[in-house]
Amino acid sequence: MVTSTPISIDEALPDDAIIEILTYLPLDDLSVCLEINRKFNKLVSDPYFKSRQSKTLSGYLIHNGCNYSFLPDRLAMKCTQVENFNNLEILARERYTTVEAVSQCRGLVCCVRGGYLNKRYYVCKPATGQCRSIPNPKLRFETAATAIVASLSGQEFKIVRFSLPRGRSLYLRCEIFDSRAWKWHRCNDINQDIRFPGDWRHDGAVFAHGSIHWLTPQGIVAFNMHKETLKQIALPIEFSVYESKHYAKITLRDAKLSIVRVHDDDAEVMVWTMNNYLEEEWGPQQLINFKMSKIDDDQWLPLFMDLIYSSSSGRNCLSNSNWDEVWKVNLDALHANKSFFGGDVFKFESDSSPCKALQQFA
Amino acid sequence: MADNGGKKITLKSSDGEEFEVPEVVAMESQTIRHVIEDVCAKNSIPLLNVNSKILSKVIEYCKKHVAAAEAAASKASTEEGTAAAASVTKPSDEDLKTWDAEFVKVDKGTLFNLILAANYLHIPGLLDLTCQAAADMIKGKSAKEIRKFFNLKNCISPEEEEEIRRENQWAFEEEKRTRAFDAYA
Repeated sequence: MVTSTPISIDEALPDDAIIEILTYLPLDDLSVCLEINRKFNKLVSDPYFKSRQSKTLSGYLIHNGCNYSFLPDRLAMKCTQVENFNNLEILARERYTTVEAVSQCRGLVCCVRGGYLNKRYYVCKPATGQCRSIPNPKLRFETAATAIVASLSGQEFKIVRFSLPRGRSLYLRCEIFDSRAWKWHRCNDINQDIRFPGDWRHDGAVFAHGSIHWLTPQGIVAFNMHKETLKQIALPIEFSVYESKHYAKITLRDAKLSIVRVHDDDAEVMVWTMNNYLEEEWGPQQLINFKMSKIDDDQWLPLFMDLIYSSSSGRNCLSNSNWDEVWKVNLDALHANKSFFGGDVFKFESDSSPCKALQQFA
Repeated sequence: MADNGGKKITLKSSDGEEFEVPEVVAMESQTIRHVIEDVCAKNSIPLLNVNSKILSKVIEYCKKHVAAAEAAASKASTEEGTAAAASVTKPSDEDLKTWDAEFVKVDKGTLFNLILAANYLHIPGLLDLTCQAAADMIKGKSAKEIRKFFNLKNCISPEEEEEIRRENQWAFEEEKRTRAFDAYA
């Protein structure tokens, strides 16, 4: 492409490369770029660039006692100015609001409002202020687990809800809400013996490879959102060796499904990453001792942040005194850890483009 | 299937120069990794979009980062007691960051070519490093300074420029507002 020394940046680099560079700039410098010349003005004002720019909110939606708040993940967000995000008013408008699920990207929240007799399901996008009620699923069956997934375009979404049948039957009911049809439809019952833990909201579902995953005492449950089928994924062999009292959760590392276990004997964490999803092959286990290094490299920082905002038996999972030495070296992380007391927590990533499915007509 | 028979691989730049590198270093480039893994048994890979000067810089980056990753992995596996080890691995992370900072202290032309190469060869770490360096060159400068620095022609009349400056006040208001969570319906 370019072999001789370039004269100017817009001759040397294609528009895509310039846009890539511009995404690293904070807002104030971007405003200046509008004035440079027509080309830069056009690039910066372009809606495509704005959508690239708009990975605006990254953090955790947590329930601390009586209301929901958003804790920003400052390190994930490239902007240098970080404002204070206070309570998400849109979720706190009524007294009894429970967040059931949060989408992995696009920041869609599925919540339930109202008391025992008049529950209503809503889907909202806090970043844009959109909120719309959706038809209720069959509420006479108690919820076992819920997850919401946004379409690639961010304009549509699907919600899957598992519920418990009456009586002592060993199956799960399954319903899916498709925003394109704007109604729930029932899927095949799940006849496998799967029991979601009571505190399934504490560690949200992980969406990877087209499926939603939950960690249950028996293993990993994967529900394919397209095919609407469920399968179980065996845990790594070494995982079962230890007592199940250690806190474990599933997460994403480099877009691959991973399972993490915290060892309370020390500030240690064991990680397995699934190298081959089709064959369900787990990679080798990796033991990381967080006391060994300052946690600021990209490899382990996202994992560490994830664990800071994790609940174990209703408490912060890293509250063990073995972690004190880690906090001494990572004061930022300590601050983050102390602001979370355990409870419902959802990883929250949102852009600022409106969701078509949530647009209300007057 | 990727076989460990050939540990070294040859990369050929656009101007015909050949570089022999360990396969693991070449695989820092996801483009090259796909070629090795999917096409397999490639002894020499021609890179038509990268000249020798830039390719040697890219290889330098990959070598350094592979070495750093290997050093970190071997340290993690030897558990030598917690208290003493706390300060041991800190310097190596700092070292790599310092090295990276020095690595991008190059002239603009070379930096742009590195961005293009990192994109073509799909080396996320290098792309991130070089784009950040380019962005740092823009930060804090006025429009006039940026134009001068990057040799950009300005075809806007002073009146148009004034109008854009006025519009600027509102340009990112929406962005700023959503970040501050004020944009309620």
